[in-house]
Amino acid sequence: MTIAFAGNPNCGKTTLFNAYTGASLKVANWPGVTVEKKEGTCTYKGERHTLVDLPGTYSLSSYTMEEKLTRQFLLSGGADVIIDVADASCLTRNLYLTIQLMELGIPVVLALNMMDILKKRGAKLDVHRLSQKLGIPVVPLSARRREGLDVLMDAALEAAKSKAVPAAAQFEQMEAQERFAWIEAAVAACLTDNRPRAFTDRVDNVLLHPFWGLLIFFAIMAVVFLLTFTLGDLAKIPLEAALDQLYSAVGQGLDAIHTAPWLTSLITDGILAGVGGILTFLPNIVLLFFALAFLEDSGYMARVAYIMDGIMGSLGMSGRAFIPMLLGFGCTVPAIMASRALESRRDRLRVMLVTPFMSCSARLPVYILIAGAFFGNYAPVAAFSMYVIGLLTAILIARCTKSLHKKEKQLPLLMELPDYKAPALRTVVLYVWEKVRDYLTRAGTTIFLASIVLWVLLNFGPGGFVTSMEDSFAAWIGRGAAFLLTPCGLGMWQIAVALIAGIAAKEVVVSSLAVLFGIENISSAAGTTALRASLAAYGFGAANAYALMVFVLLYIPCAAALATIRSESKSWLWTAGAAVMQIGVAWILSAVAYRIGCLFI
Amino acid sequence: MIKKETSNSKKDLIKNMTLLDCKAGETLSISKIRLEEALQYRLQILGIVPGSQVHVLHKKRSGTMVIRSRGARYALGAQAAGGITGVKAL
Repeated sequence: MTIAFAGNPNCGKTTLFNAYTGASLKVANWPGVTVEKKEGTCTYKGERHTLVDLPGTYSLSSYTMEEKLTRQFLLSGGADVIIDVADASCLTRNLYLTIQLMELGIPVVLALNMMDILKKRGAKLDVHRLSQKLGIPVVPLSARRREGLDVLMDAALEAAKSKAVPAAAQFEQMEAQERFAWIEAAVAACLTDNRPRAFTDRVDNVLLHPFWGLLIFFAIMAVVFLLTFTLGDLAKIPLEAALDQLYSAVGQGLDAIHTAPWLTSLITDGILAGVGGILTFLPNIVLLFFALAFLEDSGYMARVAYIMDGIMGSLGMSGRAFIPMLLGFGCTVPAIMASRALESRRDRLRVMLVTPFMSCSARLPVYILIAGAFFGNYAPVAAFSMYVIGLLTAILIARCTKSLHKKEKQLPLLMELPDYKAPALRTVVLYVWEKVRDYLTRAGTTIFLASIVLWVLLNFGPGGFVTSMEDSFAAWIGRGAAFLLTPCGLGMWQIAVALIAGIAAKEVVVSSLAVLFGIENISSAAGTTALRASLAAYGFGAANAYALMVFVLLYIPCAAALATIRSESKSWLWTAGAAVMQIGVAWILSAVAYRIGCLFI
Repeated sequence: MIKKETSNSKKDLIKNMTLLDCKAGETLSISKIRLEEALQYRLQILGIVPGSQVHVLHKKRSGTMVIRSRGARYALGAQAAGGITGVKAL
């Protein structure tokens, strides 16, 4: 049997679906669109059934993609029975969808979720009466407490086997307004004492307060940020150490069996380092999504759109876009993944375009080195200015792309704010697991290819495998491309090579400069002086240095970030476009910075 | 004329107003919704239709508000609130 789960957003549909399927979840996309399709299996009383989690919708007409997909899937005979999940505490609105589902001519069972909360409030719901009024089976349950699950499954299988199509002829002629009137009368006959939940209102009085609400929001964001990056980076240290040991062990093992040096290099420096680099982001990503899942499942995330509506609205973005943009200051990869919290694809794509300009922590070593070498006492000011330039560039790009995707016109804010509840551990864990698995498989495959390409560029030359970066294809390209960087004051092949190498990860710019200029211990005081002296020999002064910092700030954040953009946008075109734009913006602004710098210095 | 308008409080109560004019804590009985088709439709499927009531829970200076309708809460932009008219319910 195929059982489809339909229902309003926030009705607990996914919790119920997870309760049945566990981790047997298969997440794919609906053909041709980016709406997620979740499928799972469940063995009940010795029989295997396929469960499909349809996108949450308020109706079945065909305005949004979610509604169209749900309707098409059900009408094409995709399911034997529909389990319509309804939030018992908001019954009237939920039943509007129920009636539309009943009109499809497929057996429908109504699952009244959150009955525990209704009971706690002292409300009484006459389930039999409701079932009689609607003419379909109604099962009360609590998905969070896993109560009533077997009863629901029995009712659904029974309805599917007997092919009990609901009688819905009476609704045919009714307009929306009349339908709501009918539903209201039906609910009034079954439900007594439906008081709104006072708890959520009391919490909202504080969390949505014009002043305190904003303050608490920033405090929560600070905690999320610290948790993701401070704690995450702590967990990174042993992970990186373990990976380093693995690389050297593999390297030694390969040497021991007399593998060709180039192959050893490809495996250790190319593939293992590239794919291992993906793994080092894992602690950050797990912690970030743990925090986001907590905010999402508790009901707070929806409020963020309201709280930040004013500030982000002026950029033509949803209030929630603030979260990925803030996280961008930590690391671009999880920040781009956080763009999933946004409602519209248009917003998600724009956030992916803008977030990489937020100066992530991997860029700091470059600022420290270059600013330290050229700006002396003013180094901190020069480094700080990078954060400001990044932020301003992001705002500028956001404003410029405001009218992008004209077809998907931005609708004014209209979003349900669910009741607050204690997040269910199961939901949170599944949510985190899903993201981590996605990240490893999707970003992992792209990064695998990218690291091989980068390795070839840096380790192969026209004459084959090279031991010095100076003879590599990258150096070759660098020599050819250096003139392109001349307007930015960066027309040196070594700089071009360091920038190409920096695509692997921004901090690599530092180590590449060290290698190319033959400086040992580049981060020490002597190393910094030596770097300045070597660069000065080429006429590279403070204005050039500042332009270099601007370029590093703005160009492609790293291969992993590009891989993440690719896996989140599911579009190579968009990814390539983003990369070209980043290089373009970096080129223009570093040229501007260089020209202005030349006037002063 | 001005005096008449301010003193006649009963008349004030049944005066047509938009949801945007409502303060936090006030309730509007909707008589008409005139908005862009897509938005009007989205309100309709939530049960925010003429004849129903919405209660303003919170309101920001920009006009963005949180409303309650049929037991559920929604964040609503000022633009949308401006297109919903009705009379203040007691």
